[in-house]
Amino acid sequence: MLINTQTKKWNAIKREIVGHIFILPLIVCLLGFTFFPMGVSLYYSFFDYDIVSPPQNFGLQNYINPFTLDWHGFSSSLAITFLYTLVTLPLNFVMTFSMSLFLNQKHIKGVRVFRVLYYIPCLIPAVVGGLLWQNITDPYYGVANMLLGKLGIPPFDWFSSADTALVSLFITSLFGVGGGTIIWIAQMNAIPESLLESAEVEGAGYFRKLFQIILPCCSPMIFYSLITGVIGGLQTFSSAFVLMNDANASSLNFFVVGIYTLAFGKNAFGYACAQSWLLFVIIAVLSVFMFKLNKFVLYGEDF
Amino acid sequence: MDGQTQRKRPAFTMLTVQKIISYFFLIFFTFFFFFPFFIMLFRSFMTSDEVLFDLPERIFPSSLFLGAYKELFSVKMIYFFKNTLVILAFNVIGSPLTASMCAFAFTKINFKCRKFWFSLMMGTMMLPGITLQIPMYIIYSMLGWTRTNLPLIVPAFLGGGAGSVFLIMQFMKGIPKDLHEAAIIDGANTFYIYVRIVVPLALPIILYFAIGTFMGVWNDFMGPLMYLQKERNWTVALAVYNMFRGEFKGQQYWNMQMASGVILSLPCMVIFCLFQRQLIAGVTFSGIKI
Repeated sequence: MLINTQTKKWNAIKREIVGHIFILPLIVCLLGFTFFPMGVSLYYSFFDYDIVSPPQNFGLQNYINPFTLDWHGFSSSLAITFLYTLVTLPLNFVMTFSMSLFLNQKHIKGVRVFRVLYYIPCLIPAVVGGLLWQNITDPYYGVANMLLGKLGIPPFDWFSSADTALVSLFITSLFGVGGGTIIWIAQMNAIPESLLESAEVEGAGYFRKLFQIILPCCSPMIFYSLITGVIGGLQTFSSAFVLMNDANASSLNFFVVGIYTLAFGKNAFGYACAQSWLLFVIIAVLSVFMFKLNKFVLYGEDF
Repeated sequence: MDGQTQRKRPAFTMLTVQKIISYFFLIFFTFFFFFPFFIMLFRSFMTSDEVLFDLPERIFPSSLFLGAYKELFSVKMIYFFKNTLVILAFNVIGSPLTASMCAFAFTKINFKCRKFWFSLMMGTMMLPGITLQIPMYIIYSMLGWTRTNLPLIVPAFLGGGAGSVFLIMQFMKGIPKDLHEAAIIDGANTFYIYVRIVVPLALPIILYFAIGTFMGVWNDFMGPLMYLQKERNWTVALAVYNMFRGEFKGQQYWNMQMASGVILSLPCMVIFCLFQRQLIAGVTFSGIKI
Protein backbone atom coordinates (compact mmCIF):
# COMPACT_ATOMS: atom_id res chain seq x y z
CA MET A 1 0.00 0.00 0.00
CA LEU A 2 2.74 2.40 1.03
CA ILE A 3 4.86 1.45 -1.95
CA ASN A 4 1.88 1.91 -4.20
CA THR A 5 1.23 5.52 -3.13
CA GLN A 6 4.93 6.25 -3.36
CA THR A 7 5.19 5.01 -6.93
CA LYS A 8 2.05 6.96 -7.73
CA LYS A 9 3.64 10.10 -6.35
CA TRP A 10 6.88 9.41 -8.19
CA ASN A 11 4.93 8.84 -11.42
CA ALA A 12 3.14 12.15 -10.98
CA ILE A 13 6.43 13.96 -10.47
CA LYS A 14 7.90 12.21 -13.47
CA ARG A 15 4.92 13.24 -15.60
CA GLU A 16 5.37 16.81 -14.43
CA ILE A 17 9.05 16.78 -15.43
CA VAL A 18 8.51 15.06 -18.78
CA GLY A 19 5.62 17.40 -19.58
CA HIS A 20 7.76 20.43 -18.94
CA ILE A 21 10.59 19.04 -21.06
CA PHE A 22 8.20 18.69 -23.97
CA ILE A 23 6.85 22.22 -23.65
CA LEU A 24 10.28 23.73 -22.97
CA PRO A 25 10.34 25.46 -26.40
CA LEU A 26 7.00 27.05 -25.58
CA ILE A 27 8.15 28.14 -22.11
CA VAL A 28 11.24 29.79 -23.62
CA CYS A 29 9.04 31.40 -26.26
CA LEU A 30 6.55 32.76 -23.74
CA LEU A 31 9.08 34.01 -21.20
CA GLY A 32 12.00 35.07 -23.41
CA PHE A 33 10.33 35.99 -26.68
CA THR A 34 6.92 37.23 -25.53
CA PHE A 35 6.72 38.52 -21.97
CA PHE A 36 10.27 39.84 -21.80
CA PRO A 37 9.94 41.88 -25.03
CA MET A 38 6.52 43.07 -23.84
CA GLY A 39 8.19 44.38 -20.71
CA VAL A 40 11.00 45.94 -22.74
CA SER A 41 8.46 47.57 -25.02
CA LEU A 42 6.40 48.90 -22.12
CA TYR A 43 9.54 50.28 -20.44
CA TYR A 44 10.87 52.12 -23.50
CA SER A 45 7.41 53.40 -24.42
CA PHE A 46 7.80 55.95 -21.60
CA PHE A 47 11.07 57.33 -22.98
CA ASP A 48 12.57 58.98 -26.02
CA TYR A 49 14.78 56.16 -27.22
CA ASP A 50 16.82 55.71 -30.39
CA ILE A 51 18.76 52.51 -29.45
CA VAL A 52 22.12 54.27 -29.86
CA SER A 53 21.92 56.66 -26.91
CA PRO A 54 20.42 55.86 -23.50
CA PRO A 55 16.67 56.50 -23.02
CA GLN A 56 15.74 60.08 -22.16
CA ASN A 57 12.79 62.18 -20.96
CA PHE A 58 10.72 59.80 -18.89
CA GLY A 59 7.03 60.58 -19.19
CA LEU A 60 3.72 59.94 -20.90
CA GLN A 61 4.55 62.08 -23.96
CA ASN A 62 4.56 59.03 -26.30
CA TYR A 63 0.98 58.23 -25.32
CA ILE A 64 -0.24 61.84 -25.29
CA ASN A 65 1.41 63.16 -28.46
CA PRO A 66 -0.61 61.03 -30.90
CA PHE A 67 -3.75 62.78 -29.61
CA THR A 68 -2.31 66.30 -29.46
CA LEU A 69 0.83 67.29 -31.40
CA ASP A 70 0.73 64.44 -33.94
CA TRP A 71 -3.05 64.14 -34.13
CA HIS A 72 -3.16 64.98 -37.81
CA GLY A 73 -0.89 62.13 -38.90
CA PHE A 74 -2.13 59.71 -36.26
CA SER A 75 -5.82 60.20 -37.04
CA SER A 76 -5.28 59.91 -40.77
CA SER A 77 -3.36 56.64 -40.40
CA LEU A 78 -6.09 55.29 -38.08
CA ALA A 79 -8.76 56.38 -40.56
CA ILE A 80 -6.96 54.73 -43.50
CA THR A 81 -6.54 51.48 -41.58
CA PHE A 82 -10.17 51.35 -40.47
CA LEU A 83 -11.47 52.38 -43.87
CA TYR A 84 -9.42 49.65 -45.54
CA THR A 85 -10.71 47.03 -43.09
CA LEU A 86 -14.31 48.23 -43.35
CA VAL A 87 -14.28 48.19 -47.15
CA THR A 88 -12.23 45.07 -47.94
CA LEU A 89 -13.81 42.84 -45.29
CA PRO A 90 -17.41 42.95 -46.60
CA LEU A 91 -16.24 43.19 -50.21
CA ASN A 92 -14.05 40.10 -49.89
CA PHE A 93 -16.75 38.35 -47.89
CA VAL A 94 -19.40 38.81 -50.57
CA MET A 95 -16.96 37.82 -53.31
CA THR A 96 -15.64 34.74 -51.51
CA PHE A 97 -19.10 33.63 -50.45
CA SER A 98 -20.69 33.89 -53.86
CA MET A 99 -17.67 32.28 -55.46
CA SER A 100 -17.89 29.38 -53.01
CA LEU A 101 -21.60 28.92 -53.74
CA PHE A 102 -20.67 28.79 -57.38
CA LEU A 103 -17.81 26.33 -56.87
CA ASN A 104 -19.99 24.10 -54.72
CA GLN A 105 -22.22 22.99 -57.60
CA LYS A 106 -21.87 19.26 -57.47
CA HIS A 107 -23.31 18.49 -60.89
CA ILE A 108 -20.52 20.30 -62.74
CA LYS A 109 -17.56 18.14 -63.72
CA GLY A 110 -14.04 19.36 -63.05
CA VAL A 111 -15.11 21.89 -60.46
CA ARG A 112 -12.31 20.66 -58.16
CA VAL A 113 -9.71 21.71 -60.71
CA PHE A 114 -11.07 25.23 -60.59
CA ARG A 115 -10.86 25.28 -56.80
CA VAL A 116 -7.13 24.56 -57.06
CA LEU A 117 -6.69 27.06 -59.88
CA TYR A 118 -8.36 29.82 -57.86
CA TYR A 119 -6.06 29.19 -54.93
CA ILE A 120 -2.78 29.39 -56.85
CA PRO A 121 -2.67 33.17 -57.50
CA CYS A 122 -2.93 33.72 -53.72
CA LEU A 123 0.50 32.17 -53.38
CA ILE A 124 2.19 35.17 -55.03
CA PRO A 125 4.36 36.72 -52.29
CA ALA A 126 3.68 40.26 -51.09
CA VAL A 127 6.97 41.56 -52.50
CA VAL A 128 6.12 40.19 -55.94
CA GLY A 129 2.61 41.60 -55.59
CA GLY A 130 4.19 45.00 -55.05
CA LEU A 131 6.39 44.79 -58.16
CA LEU A 132 3.62 43.30 -60.23
CA TRP A 133 0.92 45.81 -59.39
CA GLN A 134 3.31 48.70 -59.85
CA ASN A 135 4.05 47.33 -63.28
CA ILE A 136 0.45 46.65 -64.26
CA THR A 137 -0.83 50.00 -62.99
CA ASP A 138 1.96 52.13 -64.39
CA PRO A 139 0.07 55.18 -65.75
CA TYR A 140 1.91 55.17 -69.10
CA TYR A 141 3.28 51.68 -69.76
CA GLY A 142 0.99 49.50 -67.62
CA VAL A 143 -1.56 47.06 -68.94
CA ALA A 144 -4.36 48.41 -66.75
CA ASN A 145 -4.66 51.82 -68.37
CA MET A 146 -4.10 50.32 -71.82
CA LEU A 147 -7.10 48.02 -71.30
CA LEU A 148 -9.17 50.87 -69.88
CA GLY A 149 -8.24 52.91 -72.95
CA LYS A 150 -9.48 50.12 -75.24
CA LEU A 151 -12.82 50.26 -73.40
CA GLY A 152 -12.90 54.02 -73.84
CA ILE A 153 -12.37 54.77 -70.16
CA PRO A 154 -9.94 57.62 -69.35
CA PRO A 155 -6.68 56.57 -67.67
CA PHE A 156 -6.62 56.15 -63.91
CA ASP A 157 -3.73 57.28 -61.69
CA TRP A 158 -3.67 54.07 -59.60
CA PHE A 159 -0.73 54.02 -57.22
CA SER A 160 0.95 57.12 -58.61
CA SER A 161 -1.35 59.53 -56.83
CA ALA A 162 -2.42 59.85 -53.21
CA ASP A 163 -6.06 60.27 -54.24
CA THR A 164 -6.38 56.91 -55.98
CA ALA A 165 -3.87 54.70 -54.16
CA LEU A 166 -6.25 53.40 -51.50
CA VAL A 167 -8.99 52.62 -54.02
CA SER A 168 -6.39 50.80 -56.11
CA LEU A 169 -5.43 48.73 -53.08
CA PHE A 170 -9.11 47.75 -52.65
CA ILE A 171 -9.14 46.61 -56.27
CA THR A 172 -5.91 44.63 -56.05
CA SER A 173 -7.13 42.90 -52.87
CA LEU A 174 -9.93 41.37 -54.95
CA PHE A 175 -7.44 39.19 -56.81
CA GLY A 176 -6.78 37.29 -53.60
CA VAL A 177 -10.36 36.23 -52.82
CA GLY A 178 -10.04 32.89 -54.61
CA GLY A 179 -7.96 31.49 -51.77
CA GLY A 180 -10.68 31.86 -49.17
CA THR A 181 -13.10 29.64 -51.04
CA ILE A 182 -11.58 26.33 -49.88
CA ILE A 183 -12.59 26.81 -46.24
CA TRP A 184 -16.01 28.11 -47.22
CA ILE A 185 -16.73 25.14 -49.45
CA ALA A 186 -15.84 22.81 -46.58
CA GLN A 187 -18.29 24.65 -44.34
CA MET A 188 -21.02 24.50 -46.99
CA ASN A 189 -20.46 20.78 -47.45
CA ALA A 190 -21.01 20.30 -43.72
CA ILE A 191 -24.61 21.55 -44.02
CA PRO A 192 -26.89 18.51 -43.65
CA GLU A 193 -28.39 17.59 -47.01
CA SER A 194 -31.68 16.70 -45.31
CA LEU A 195 -32.22 20.32 -44.27
CA LEU A 196 -31.96 21.58 -47.82
CA GLU A 197 -34.09 18.75 -49.17
CA SER A 198 -36.91 19.23 -46.70
CA ALA A 199 -36.90 22.95 -47.43
CA GLU A 200 -37.21 22.15 -51.11
CA VAL A 201 -40.10 19.78 -50.45
CA GLU A 202 -41.88 22.55 -48.58
CA GLY A 203 -41.47 24.79 -51.59
CA ALA A 204 -38.68 27.11 -50.51
CA GLY A 205 -37.06 28.99 -53.40
CA TYR A 206 -33.35 29.45 -53.99
CA PHE A 207 -33.04 32.72 -52.08
CA ARG A 208 -35.16 31.48 -49.19
CA LYS A 209 -32.78 28.50 -48.84
CA LEU A 210 -29.77 30.79 -49.17
CA PHE A 211 -30.80 33.24 -46.48
CA GLN A 212 -32.56 30.89 -44.07
CA ILE A 213 -30.43 27.76 -44.27
CA ILE A 214 -27.07 28.23 -45.95
CA LEU A 215 -26.12 31.58 -44.41
CA PRO A 216 -27.14 30.67 -40.82
CA CYS A 217 -25.34 27.32 -41.11
CA CYS A 218 -22.23 29.17 -42.25
CA SER A 219 -22.31 31.51 -39.27
CA PRO A 220 -19.29 29.91 -37.54
CA MET A 221 -17.26 30.68 -40.65
CA ILE A 222 -18.66 34.21 -40.86
CA PHE A 223 -17.69 34.74 -37.23
CA TYR A 224 -14.22 33.29 -37.82
CA SER A 225 -13.56 35.40 -40.89
CA LEU A 226 -14.90 38.51 -39.16
CA ILE A 227 -12.45 38.12 -36.27
CA THR A 228 -9.41 37.12 -38.32
CA GLY A 229 -10.32 39.72 -40.95
CA VAL A 230 -10.56 42.62 -38.50
CA ILE A 231 -7.42 41.62 -36.58
CA GLY A 232 -5.49 41.01 -39.81
CA GLY A 233 -6.85 44.10 -41.56
CA LEU A 234 -5.81 46.42 -38.75
CA GLN A 235 -2.29 45.00 -39.03
CA THR A 236 -1.96 45.46 -42.81
CA PHE A 237 1.67 46.06 -43.60
CA SER A 238 3.45 44.25 -46.43
CA SER A 239 0.80 44.64 -49.12
CA ALA A 240 0.73 48.42 -48.62
CA PHE A 241 4.40 48.93 -47.81
CA VAL A 242 5.67 47.35 -51.02
CA LEU A 243 3.48 49.68 -53.08
CA MET A 244 4.45 52.86 -51.28
CA ASN A 245 6.26 55.63 -53.13
CA ASP A 246 6.76 59.35 -52.61
CA ALA A 247 3.53 60.24 -54.35
CA ASN A 248 1.13 57.97 -52.47
CA ALA A 249 2.84 57.74 -49.07
CA SER A 250 0.21 59.90 -47.36
CA SER A 251 -2.68 57.66 -48.40
CA LEU A 252 -1.05 54.26 -47.80
CA ASN A 253 0.15 55.26 -44.35
CA PHE A 254 -1.42 52.31 -42.52
CA PHE A 255 -1.09 52.09 -38.75
CA VAL A 256 1.61 49.41 -38.76
CA VAL A 257 3.42 51.10 -41.66
CA GLY A 258 3.44 54.25 -39.49
CA ILE A 259 4.92 52.33 -36.56
CA TYR A 260 7.57 50.84 -38.84
CA THR A 261 8.55 54.28 -40.18
CA LEU A 262 8.71 55.71 -36.67
CA ALA A 263 11.12 52.99 -35.59
CA PHE A 264 13.26 52.40 -38.66
CA GLY A 265 12.82 55.69 -40.52
CA LYS A 266 12.99 58.16 -37.66
CA ASN A 267 14.74 56.03 -35.01
CA ALA A 268 11.94 56.87 -32.56
CA PHE A 269 11.81 53.41 -30.99
CA GLY A 270 10.14 54.58 -27.77
CA TYR A 271 7.38 56.25 -29.72
CA ALA A 272 6.97 53.18 -31.92
CA CYS A 273 6.63 50.97 -28.83
CA ALA A 274 3.93 53.25 -27.42
CA GLN A 275 1.96 53.23 -30.68
CA SER A 276 2.17 49.44 -30.94
CA TRP A 277 0.61 49.29 -27.46
CA LEU A 278 -2.18 51.58 -28.67
CA LEU A 279 -2.77 49.15 -31.54
CA PHE A 280 -2.88 46.28 -29.07
CA VAL A 281 -5.51 48.09 -26.99
CA ILE A 282 -7.62 48.82 -30.08
CA ILE A 283 -7.47 45.18 -31.19
CA ALA A 284 -8.21 43.87 -27.69
CA VAL A 285 -11.26 46.13 -27.28
CA LEU A 286 -12.61 45.22 -30.71
CA SER A 287 -12.03 41.51 -30.02
CA VAL A 288 -14.05 41.69 -26.81
CA PHE A 289 -16.93 43.29 -28.71
CA MET A 290 -16.70 40.80 -31.55
CA PHE A 291 -16.70 37.82 -29.19
CA LYS A 292 -20.02 39.11 -27.83
CA LEU A 293 -21.44 38.19 -31.25
CA ASN A 294 -20.63 34.57 -30.47
CA LYS A 295 -24.16 34.06 -29.11
CA PHE A 296 -25.61 34.60 -32.59
CA VAL A 297 -23.46 31.86 -34.06
CA LEU A 298 -24.98 28.44 -34.73
CA TYR A 299 -22.60 25.62 -33.94
CA GLY A 300 -22.95 22.02 -35.14
CA GLU A 301 -25.38 20.81 -32.47
CA ASP A 302 -27.94 23.53 -33.21
CA PHE A 303 -28.63 22.47 -36.80
CA MET B 1 -46.43 9.64 -73.65
CA ASP B 2 -45.98 12.60 -75.92
CA GLY B 3 -46.70 15.04 -73.16
CA GLN B 4 -44.01 13.50 -70.95
CA THR B 5 -41.21 13.78 -73.51
CA GLN B 6 -42.20 17.35 -74.20
CA ARG B 7 -42.02 18.17 -70.52
CA LYS B 8 -38.63 16.48 -70.15
CA ARG B 9 -36.90 18.14 -73.03
CA PRO B 10 -36.98 21.76 -71.77
CA ALA B 11 -35.67 20.59 -68.38
CA PHE B 12 -32.74 18.92 -70.12
CA THR B 13 -31.82 22.01 -72.13
CA MET B 14 -32.19 24.23 -69.05
CA LEU B 15 -29.56 22.14 -67.31
CA THR B 16 -27.24 22.33 -70.31
CA VAL B 17 -27.63 26.09 -70.53
CA GLN B 18 -26.92 26.34 -66.82
CA LYS B 19 -23.79 24.23 -67.27
CA ILE B 20 -22.54 26.32 -70.16
CA ILE B 21 -23.06 29.52 -68.18
CA SER B 22 -21.30 27.95 -65.20
CA TYR B 23 -18.28 26.92 -67.23
CA PHE B 24 -18.17 30.35 -68.84
CA PHE B 25 -17.96 32.03 -65.44
CA LEU B 26 -15.51 29.47 -64.06
CA ILE B 27 -13.14 30.05 -66.97
CA PHE B 28 -13.67 33.80 -66.86
CA PHE B 29 -12.68 33.92 -63.17
CA THR B 30 -9.66 31.69 -63.82
CA PHE B 31 -8.43 34.29 -66.29
CA PHE B 32 -9.32 37.06 -63.86
CA PHE B 33 -7.30 35.56 -60.99
CA PHE B 34 -4.39 34.56 -63.22
CA PHE B 35 -4.32 37.83 -65.14
CA PRO B 36 -1.59 39.44 -62.95
CA PHE B 37 0.50 36.27 -63.06
CA PHE B 38 0.23 35.97 -66.85
CA ILE B 39 1.25 39.60 -67.33
CA MET B 40 4.25 38.95 -65.11
CA LEU B 41 5.17 35.78 -67.00
CA PHE B 42 4.84 37.44 -70.45
CA ARG B 43 6.85 40.49 -69.51
CA SER B 44 9.61 38.37 -67.98
CA PHE B 45 10.33 36.90 -71.43
CA MET B 46 10.59 40.28 -73.17
CA THR B 47 13.87 41.77 -74.28
CA SER B 48 15.06 45.12 -72.93
CA ASP B 49 14.11 46.76 -76.21
CA GLU B 50 10.61 45.36 -76.10
CA VAL B 51 10.17 46.54 -72.53
CA LEU B 52 11.46 50.00 -73.37
CA PHE B 53 9.78 50.71 -76.68
CA ASP B 54 6.86 48.35 -77.28
CA LEU B 55 4.90 48.76 -74.05
CA PRO B 56 2.06 48.95 -73.24
CA GLU B 57 0.63 47.68 -76.57
CA ARG B 58 2.77 44.54 -76.60
CA ILE B 59 1.18 41.84 -74.43
CA PHE B 60 3.02 38.72 -75.60
CA PRO B 61 6.81 38.54 -75.89
CA SER B 62 8.15 38.07 -79.41
CA SER B 63 10.07 34.95 -78.36
CA LEU B 64 10.96 32.90 -75.27
CA PHE B 65 13.83 35.25 -74.45
CA LEU B 66 15.63 34.10 -71.29
CA GLY B 67 18.06 37.02 -71.06
CA ALA B 68 16.26 38.58 -68.10
CA TYR B 69 16.57 35.36 -66.11
CA LYS B 70 20.25 34.96 -67.02
CA GLU B 71 21.02 38.52 -66.02
CA LEU B 72 19.18 38.05 -62.74
CA PHE B 73 21.29 35.06 -61.80
CA SER B 74 24.48 36.86 -62.68
CA VAL B 75 23.85 39.39 -59.92
CA LYS B 76 24.36 37.59 -56.61
CA MET B 77 20.95 35.91 -56.82
CA ILE B 78 22.53 32.50 -56.09
CA TYR B 79 23.93 33.97 -52.92
CA PHE B 80 20.51 35.21 -51.75
CA PHE B 81 19.04 31.81 -52.56
CA LYS B 82 21.62 30.19 -50.32
CA ASN B 83 20.74 32.59 -47.48
CA THR B 84 17.07 31.81 -47.86
CA LEU B 85 17.69 28.07 -47.94
CA VAL B 86 19.64 28.18 -44.68
CA ILE B 87 16.81 30.01 -42.91
CA LEU B 88 14.25 27.72 -44.55
CA ALA B 89 16.02 24.54 -43.47
CA PHE B 90 16.07 25.54 -39.80
CA ASN B 91 12.44 26.67 -39.89
CA VAL B 92 11.02 23.72 -41.76
CA ILE B 93 12.69 21.32 -39.31
CA GLY B 94 12.45 23.37 -36.12
CA SER B 95 8.89 24.67 -36.20
CA PRO B 96 7.05 21.38 -36.85
CA LEU B 97 9.30 19.54 -34.40
CA THR B 98 8.81 21.91 -31.48
CA ALA B 99 5.14 22.64 -32.26
CA SER B 100 4.34 18.92 -32.34
CA MET B 101 6.26 18.40 -29.06
CA CYS B 102 4.17 21.07 -27.32
CA ALA B 103 0.94 19.77 -28.83
CA PHE B 104 1.87 16.25 -27.73
CA ALA B 105 2.49 17.39 -24.15
CA PHE B 106 -0.80 19.29 -24.02
CA THR B 107 -2.90 16.43 -25.38
CA LYS B 108 -1.17 13.23 -24.24
CA ILE B 109 0.71 13.98 -21.00
CA ASN B 110 -1.49 14.54 -18.01
CA PHE B 111 0.62 16.97 -15.99
CA LYS B 112 -0.67 19.55 -13.58
CA CYS B 113 0.80 22.76 -15.03
CA ARG B 114 -0.47 22.13 -18.55
CA LYS B 115 -3.65 24.15 -18.08
CA PHE B 116 -1.58 27.09 -16.87
CA TRP B 117 0.85 27.07 -19.81
CA PHE B 118 -1.93 26.37 -22.29
CA SER B 119 -4.01 29.35 -21.22
CA LEU B 120 -0.89 31.52 -21.14
CA MET B 121 -0.13 30.46 -24.71
CA MET B 122 -3.67 31.10 -25.93
CA GLY B 123 -3.60 34.48 -24.21
CA THR B 124 -0.80 35.63 -26.50
CA MET B 125 -2.73 34.85 -29.67
CA MET B 126 -4.39 38.25 -29.89
CA LEU B 127 -1.11 40.13 -29.51
CA PRO B 128 -0.37 42.06 -32.72
CA GLY B 129 2.92 41.06 -34.34
CA ILE B 130 4.32 44.58 -34.35
CA THR B 131 3.95 44.89 -30.55
CA LEU B 132 6.63 42.21 -30.22
CA GLN B 133 8.65 42.96 -33.34
CA ILE B 134 9.84 46.43 -32.28
CA PRO B 135 11.14 45.35 -28.83
CA MET B 136 12.57 42.17 -30.37
CA TYR B 137 14.54 44.38 -32.72
CA ILE B 138 15.86 46.34 -29.73
CA ILE B 139 16.85 43.08 -28.00
CA TYR B 140 18.43 41.60 -31.14
CA SER B 141 20.45 44.72 -31.78
CA MET B 142 21.70 44.69 -28.17
CA LEU B 143 22.77 41.06 -28.68
CA GLY B 144 24.42 42.00 -31.97
CA TRP B 145 22.15 39.63 -33.87
CA THR B 146 21.00 42.20 -36.44
CA ARG B 147 24.30 41.63 -38.25
CA THR B 148 23.48 37.91 -38.58
CA ASN B 149 20.52 35.78 -39.66
CA LEU B 150 19.92 34.48 -36.12
CA PRO B 151 16.71 36.55 -35.59
CA LEU B 152 15.03 34.47 -38.30
CA ILE B 153 16.47 31.12 -37.16
CA VAL B 154 16.29 30.99 -33.37
CA PRO B 155 12.52 31.65 -33.08
CA ALA B 156 11.95 28.62 -35.34
CA PHE B 157 12.76 26.39 -32.38
CA LEU B 158 10.18 27.95 -30.08
CA GLY B 159 6.98 26.10 -30.87
CA GLY B 160 5.85 27.87 -34.03
CA GLY B 161 3.23 30.03 -32.34
CA ALA B 162 0.00 29.46 -30.45
CA GLY B 163 -2.15 28.96 -33.56
CA SER B 164 -0.07 26.10 -34.91
CA VAL B 165 0.27 24.31 -31.56
CA PHE B 166 -3.50 24.57 -31.16
CA LEU B 167 -4.10 23.23 -34.67
CA ILE B 168 -1.83 20.21 -34.15
CA MET B 169 -3.47 19.64 -30.75
CA GLN B 170 -6.90 19.45 -32.37
CA PHE B 171 -5.59 16.77 -34.69
CA MET B 172 -3.82 14.79 -31.95
CA LYS B 173 -7.00 14.76 -29.88
CA GLY B 174 -8.46 12.53 -32.56
CA ILE B 175 -5.79 9.85 -32.05
CA PRO B 176 -7.38 7.08 -29.95
CA LYS B 177 -6.17 6.76 -26.38
CA ASP B 178 -6.05 2.92 -26.56
CA LEU B 179 -2.89 2.94 -28.69
CA HIS B 180 -1.09 5.12 -26.24
CA GLU B 181 -2.31 3.14 -23.20
CA ALA B 182 -1.36 -0.18 -24.76
CA ALA B 183 2.15 1.14 -25.33
CA ILE B 184 2.42 2.24 -21.69
CA ILE B 185 1.42 -1.25 -20.53
CA ASP B 186 4.13 -2.63 -22.80
CA GLY B 187 6.57 -0.46 -20.90
CA ALA B 188 7.15 2.26 -23.50
CA ASN B 189 8.29 5.62 -22.17
CA THR B 190 6.83 8.96 -23.18
CA PHE B 191 9.55 9.80 -25.72
CA TYR B 192 9.01 6.47 -27.46
CA ILE B 193 5.27 7.13 -27.63
CA TYR B 194 5.89 10.58 -29.09
CA VAL B 195 8.32 9.42 -31.75
CA ARG B 196 6.87 6.06 -32.70
CA ILE B 197 3.11 6.42 -32.17
CA VAL B 198 1.83 9.98 -32.07
CA VAL B 199 4.08 11.65 -34.66
CA PRO B 200 3.52 9.03 -37.37
CA LEU B 201 -0.24 9.24 -36.84
CA ALA B 202 -0.23 13.04 -36.80
CA LEU B 203 1.98 13.20 -39.89
CA PRO B 204 -0.70 14.68 -42.20
CA ILE B 205 -1.16 17.77 -40.02
CA ILE B 206 2.58 18.04 -39.32
CA LEU B 207 3.29 17.88 -43.05
CA TYR B 208 0.63 20.53 -43.66
CA PHE B 209 2.24 22.71 -41.03
CA ALA B 210 5.75 22.13 -42.45
CA ILE B 211 4.62 23.16 -45.93
CA GLY B 212 2.86 26.17 -44.46
CA THR B 213 6.08 27.09 -42.66
CA PHE B 214 8.04 26.76 -45.90
CA MET B 215 5.63 29.07 -47.71
CA GLY B 216 5.53 31.52 -44.83
CA VAL B 217 9.31 31.78 -44.58
CA TRP B 218 9.82 31.89 -48.33
CA ASN B 219 7.28 34.71 -48.69
CA ASP B 220 8.20 36.52 -45.48
CA PHE B 221 9.01 40.14 -46.11
CA MET B 222 8.52 42.00 -42.83
CA GLY B 223 10.93 39.82 -40.82
CA PRO B 224 13.90 40.08 -43.19
CA LEU B 225 13.14 43.76 -43.78
CA MET B 226 13.44 44.51 -40.07
CA TYR B 227 16.13 42.14 -38.90
CA LEU B 228 18.49 41.48 -41.83
CA GLN B 229 20.41 44.68 -42.21
CA LYS B 230 23.58 43.45 -43.91
CA GLU B 231 23.31 42.77 -47.62
CA ARG B 232 25.19 39.51 -47.21
CA ASN B 233 22.28 38.14 -45.12
CA TRP B 234 19.39 39.18 -47.40
CA THR B 235 16.80 36.61 -48.41
CA VAL B 236 15.57 36.45 -51.99
CA ALA B 237 12.36 38.33 -51.13
CA LEU B 238 14.22 41.17 -49.45
CA ALA B 239 16.88 41.27 -52.17
CA VAL B 240 14.21 41.57 -54.86
CA TYR B 241 12.57 44.41 -52.94
CA ASN B 242 15.82 46.29 -52.42
CA MET B 243 17.34 45.63 -55.85
CA PHE B 244 14.47 47.09 -57.82
CA ARG B 245 14.25 50.15 -55.62
CA GLY B 246 17.96 50.85 -55.97
CA GLU B 247 20.41 49.51 -58.52
CA PHE B 248 17.85 48.17 -60.99
CA LYS B 249 15.21 50.88 -60.86
CA GLY B 250 13.87 51.94 -64.21
CA GLN B 251 11.88 50.67 -67.10
CA GLN B 252 14.75 48.92 -68.90
CA TYR B 253 14.84 46.44 -66.00
CA TRP B 254 11.13 45.60 -66.08
CA ASN B 255 11.78 42.23 -67.69
CA MET B 256 14.24 41.41 -64.90
CA GLN B 257 11.74 42.59 -62.28
CA MET B 258 9.07 40.33 -63.64
CA ALA B 259 11.52 37.44 -63.99
CA SER B 260 12.42 37.75 -60.32
CA GLY B 261 8.72 37.80 -59.51
CA VAL B 262 8.18 34.57 -61.43
CA ILE B 263 11.14 32.92 -59.69
CA LEU B 264 9.91 34.05 -56.29
CA SER B 265 6.34 32.85 -56.93
CA LEU B 266 7.09 29.50 -58.57
CA PRO B 267 8.36 27.39 -55.62
CA CYS B 268 5.19 27.84 -53.59
CA MET B 269 2.97 27.24 -56.60
CA VAL B 270 4.83 24.03 -57.49
CA ILE B 271 4.68 22.81 -53.89
CA PHE B 272 1.00 23.62 -53.75
CA CYS B 273 0.30 21.63 -56.89
CA LEU B 274 2.37 18.68 -55.63
CA PHE B 275 0.76 18.51 -52.20
CA GLN B 276 -2.59 19.89 -53.33
CA ARG B 277 -4.69 17.14 -51.73
CA GLN B 278 -2.99 17.30 -48.33
CA LEU B 279 -2.95 21.09 -48.32
CA ILE B 280 -6.62 21.45 -49.15
CA ALA B 281 -7.42 18.86 -46.46
CA GLY B 282 -5.25 20.84 -44.05
CA VAL B 283 -6.82 24.19 -44.87
CA THR B 284 -10.24 22.61 -44.49
CA PHE B 285 -9.30 21.02 -41.17
CA SER B 286 -7.88 24.26 -39.78
CA GLY B 287 -10.94 26.17 -40.93
CA ILE B 288 -13.34 23.80 -39.23
CA LYS B 289 -11.39 23.28 -36.02
CA ILE B 290 -10.42 26.82 -35.14
